[in-house]
Amino acid sequence: MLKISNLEKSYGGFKVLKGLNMTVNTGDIYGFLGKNGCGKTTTMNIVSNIIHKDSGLIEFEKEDRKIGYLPESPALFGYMNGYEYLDYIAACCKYGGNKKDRIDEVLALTGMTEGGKRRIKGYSRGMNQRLGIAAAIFDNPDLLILDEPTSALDPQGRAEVMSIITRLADIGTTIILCTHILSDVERVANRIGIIRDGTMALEGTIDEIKRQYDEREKKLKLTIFGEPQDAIPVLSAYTGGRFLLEKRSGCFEIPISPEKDEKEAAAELLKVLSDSGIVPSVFEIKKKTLEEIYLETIG
Amino acid sequence: MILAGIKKEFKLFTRGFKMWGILILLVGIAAAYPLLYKSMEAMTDQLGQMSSQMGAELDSTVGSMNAMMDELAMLYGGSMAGVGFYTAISTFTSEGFLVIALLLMATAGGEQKKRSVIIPNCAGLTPAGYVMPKFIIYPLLMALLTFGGTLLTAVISDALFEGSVAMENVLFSGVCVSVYMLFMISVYFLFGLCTGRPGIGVVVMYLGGSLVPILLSAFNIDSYNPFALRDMLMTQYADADMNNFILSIVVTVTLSVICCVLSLLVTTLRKIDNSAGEANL
Repeated sequence: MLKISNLEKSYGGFKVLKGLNMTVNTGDIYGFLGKNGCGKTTTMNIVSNIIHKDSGLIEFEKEDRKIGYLPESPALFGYMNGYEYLDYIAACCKYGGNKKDRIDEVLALTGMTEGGKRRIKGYSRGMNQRLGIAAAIFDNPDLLILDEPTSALDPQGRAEVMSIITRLADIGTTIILCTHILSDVERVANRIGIIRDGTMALEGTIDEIKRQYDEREKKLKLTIFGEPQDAIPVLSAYTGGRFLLEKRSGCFEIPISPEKDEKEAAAELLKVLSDSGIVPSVFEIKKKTLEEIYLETIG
Repeated sequence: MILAGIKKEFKLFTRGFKMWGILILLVGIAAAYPLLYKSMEAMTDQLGQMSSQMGAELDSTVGSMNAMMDELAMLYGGSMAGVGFYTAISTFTSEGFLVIALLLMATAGGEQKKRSVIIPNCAGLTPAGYVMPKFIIYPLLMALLTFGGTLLTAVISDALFEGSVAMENVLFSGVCVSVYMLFMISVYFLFGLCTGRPGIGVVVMYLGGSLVPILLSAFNIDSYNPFALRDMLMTQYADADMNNFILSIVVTVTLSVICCVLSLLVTTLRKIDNSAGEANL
């Protein structure tokens, strides 16, 4: 659907994008992650033709693609109501179908059927976001770009927006989701890209990325019945001192040697603990969370 | 899309403070100058009455003021109604334009900064869909409103003073003011939409309105231009050069249309397309 090659952009003397490469496949829900100020919004503004790029290539699969864009803070027309605003959007995108039905449909989809009758200047931030989404999806875009769509929403609102995103992905819309909320990304996205220092530091499907990290670094997670201090001598002897104890939760993390099989290592440790009379309460192979991968990637 | 844009701009104008602000401005100016001169007249009468009570001490002052007002009246058609009328409509074209331009800043390109055009742009809003409704609505509306302001000024002046401004003079001046305002608003929108900086446009237009006529005069270009209309609005209909009047209107309207075309051209050239076209992905 979209391929970005070597994208560069500076604001005055400050270079934000330093050769960004990014690929979004048709049908992806692509989570685009990075720190504040790293260039996510700049990238999306360039893809949406809102600002110029300095250099680089942006290539689309379809020449006559339709892009829907929800900016981070949509500035809508306060003097209109939601219905009138979508009527104007319908004229802009030269909507070919029944305009009224489509307006009712997107307002219902975004939970704005009642809100659509009110003036936009009286909207809450969450209502602004919803109407912005309604406008972005109005003409069934091929590519939908959502920049922080849930930032202003309460948990119920966030769940509703995530549900809208999932529904759109089910009908084949390609979505780029720029957000800081990793739980949202894990919930809906199939691929992610993490931008750091103006370049793409990590990109791929979430499963692939997690598998790579798990292969590189395997750990066992252990909590015991009784005081954690009781297990320290045993674990010190077994691991040679190479383990971590999180004092607040009393949870041990024991690294597994890359040569060892996870199942073998788990069985070995269980035997050691059993022989020492230590009974585990939680014992599992620890997989890296997306948050840990993200924090490790951005540094 | 253009029709939708016209509806959008009309809603923007009528639903906010813009329309009311401009109406208050026009009514205010229309009333202020006739009332100002009426109060001068009343003050002179009051001084006259005091003079008759106090003897000859204020006679000369009252006499001077009466003479000044008579001379002023002679300059503007022979009655104080003319003084109030012509000074008010002259203010429409200077301070009146300044306030109107400030009230229209958001729609004359200021919204580009606020980014409220992003979603319509991404939805497919074209330069023509953005520019043309503004040039259709605002110059015409301002022309109509200032014409209405001219008629109102005449009504108020006629009501306050003995003597009246002749209807043909009112209509003649009204057309001069309204066509001039149509031009000024068109140039203002050209500047604002092309640069996205209407605030600077206000300053440029206000200063330009004073300096450009001086420059044109230096080159002996006193006729057949928008500023000739501004000069003519103080002229009696009977004394007006009709060729200059008609040709100035034609030139002014043509220049206003050119402003629209230029805005469209610049906005189209500024349109961003970062994609490389179709690719074999």
